[in-house]
Amino acid sequence: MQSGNGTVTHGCWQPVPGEPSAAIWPYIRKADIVSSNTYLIRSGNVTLVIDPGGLQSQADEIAAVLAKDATPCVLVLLTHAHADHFRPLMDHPYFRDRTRVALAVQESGARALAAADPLVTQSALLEKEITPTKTTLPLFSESVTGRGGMMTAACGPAGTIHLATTVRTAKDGTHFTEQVLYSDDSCPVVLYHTPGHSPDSICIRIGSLLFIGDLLFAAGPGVAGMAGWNREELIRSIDRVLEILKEGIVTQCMPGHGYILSCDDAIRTLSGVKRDAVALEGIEELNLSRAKETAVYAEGLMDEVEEIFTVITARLLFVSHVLDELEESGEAGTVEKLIDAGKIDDLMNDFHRFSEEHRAGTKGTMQLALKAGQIVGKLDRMFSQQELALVLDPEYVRRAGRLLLDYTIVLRGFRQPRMLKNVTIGPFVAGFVASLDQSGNEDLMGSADDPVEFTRSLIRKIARRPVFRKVTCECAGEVNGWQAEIDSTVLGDLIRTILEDFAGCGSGEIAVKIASASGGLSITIAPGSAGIPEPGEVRKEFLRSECARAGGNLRWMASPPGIRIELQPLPFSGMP
Amino acid sequence: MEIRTEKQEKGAVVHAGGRIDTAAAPSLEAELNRLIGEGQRKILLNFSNVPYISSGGLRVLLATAKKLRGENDSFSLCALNPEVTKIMTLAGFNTIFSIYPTEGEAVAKW
Repeated sequence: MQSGNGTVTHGCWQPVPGEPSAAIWPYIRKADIVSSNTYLIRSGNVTLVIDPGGLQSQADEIAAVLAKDATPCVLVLLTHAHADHFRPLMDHPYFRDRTRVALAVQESGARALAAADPLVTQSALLEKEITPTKTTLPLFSESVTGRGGMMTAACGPAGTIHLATTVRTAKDGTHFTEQVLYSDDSCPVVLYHTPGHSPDSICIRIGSLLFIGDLLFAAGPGVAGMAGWNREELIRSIDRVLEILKEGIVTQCMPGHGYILSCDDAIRTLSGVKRDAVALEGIEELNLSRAKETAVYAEGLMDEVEEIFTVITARLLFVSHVLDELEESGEAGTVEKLIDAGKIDDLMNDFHRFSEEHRAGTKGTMQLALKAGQIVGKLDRMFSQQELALVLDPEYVRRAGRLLLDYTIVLRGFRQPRMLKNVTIGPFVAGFVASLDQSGNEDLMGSADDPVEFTRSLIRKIARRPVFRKVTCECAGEVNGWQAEIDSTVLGDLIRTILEDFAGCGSGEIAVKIASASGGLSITIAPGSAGIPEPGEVRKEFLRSECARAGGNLRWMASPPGIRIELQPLPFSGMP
Repeated sequence: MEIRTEKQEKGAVVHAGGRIDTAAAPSLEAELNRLIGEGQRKILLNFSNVPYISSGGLRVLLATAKKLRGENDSFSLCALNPEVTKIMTLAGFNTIFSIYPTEGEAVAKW
């Protein structure tokens, strides 16, 4: 596996750029949340293990390299104490023996490891159990920060390591603490405390390589908001690291996950991370409870997204087929190319496989939420709302776009936006239902003289064949003028989703009724024929969350069958 | 996906099992083409064990329908679950294919 710029390569010893007395053996993985990269650095009588990772197989491979090329002193140096970076310290026979392998981590990380803190170490979020671990050499401890000094600690059965602390002044005049780790015959290892992703995050410079831990991902979905995450500190740390990168010493950045970056690429990427971090004011804490909530939402949303995108691609196929029958094969091909149906199919299959692994317990909750985010991102990039809306029902296309955007917002740690307004419910629902019937909207006769416009109208006529011909709407007299605070876009989408469920199953005439119910206001949607199947729990939960966002509660009714949206009416003089 | 074909006096009933997506569609298409190649002109697809069909699967159904459009030919579907029925209806395919609630009702039309 190449490192990305061809200079430093996975899985072999090579000189450290800028420090010829040292050698590096990188273990570089495709980025995920299961395990970090590991970097071995050998210099004099010391071998550093920067982040042993989170996987047994990775630890086995690293331990085999260490056993073969052993130095008397082996020191694990953590960029931060998150479980995907340190797990072998607890459960791997080579790494858990502290008399053989010493451990250095920033002081607050050391405290979290000693207490096996499930929140600070993210072991709870990653659904992994950890056991308490002692640190040999705590870094940036309160006793030296801002003052300077020297410490020495035993490292392995025969070695010692030194830690020198100095206080420096940044360009903006602020003071910061820098530490240098070394043994009697090893190269200097410069440490910078860079909190934000976690309180104990550090960056490490050896020669012209800068090891930056998870700084590149610190403002990303599924990462920002973790226990110990701090936006202001993150922004300050990014500024500090950008300053280091611009000094001209560093040539390559070694991230905690994914491929190695050139200094210029790292500057560009970190500047983007800073912009993202600035925009993250007010995000919610990312804990296991929110991860589970997001994963449940992801499953429901992906069901809905799969259905919408299947209908979109199938409808385009239908239009193409009809055009082909009309001997308009050129237009048929153009319509089919509006979206890559095969790619969408592949993405959905990928998510289904992942969901099954999650249900089988081999994939974690957070992984499922992130996988959904990855799929949603890819769908969003291959989905041109503007082009599709020229052919298909624009409201259908807009709803697909909204769902993709909603998930991105939730995964980034924000609540879905609610555009609540006081709305008179009767006219709103009646108007909405009336707008659904689009039959006869296309004036084919009117465009008959213009071949281009005629073809466009014909395509729209075929593509927008109505599915809601049999929906009636009735507003009970007693609720005339009643208002409720709702998000009208979300409520409209919800009503449409329910109507599609009923119409899609051939329910016959569908009745929408607005009436008072138990002092509240209700919108009841009832199928004309019995036997509408009740949705599964995942879909029910998704529809309930959509309804809550719209400003109401959703109930399934058994007899007569139907769905009721309950709204809280706003008090006004006409109410009983 | 699993495919089992049952030959009857007047035609063949193909029982599909599993998601019919881009990955699974070629095996269904191969079986349908094999039957047509053998001279079968009446084919019924029993969807009772199909939880989902994508546009990749629908494309195979369209291609088969085009091959079986002679006067005495028949290509129909039966026992669709609610999700598949919904996709067929919302996409408009219920206007192209003959869809029956049960296998018995479909075979009775042969």
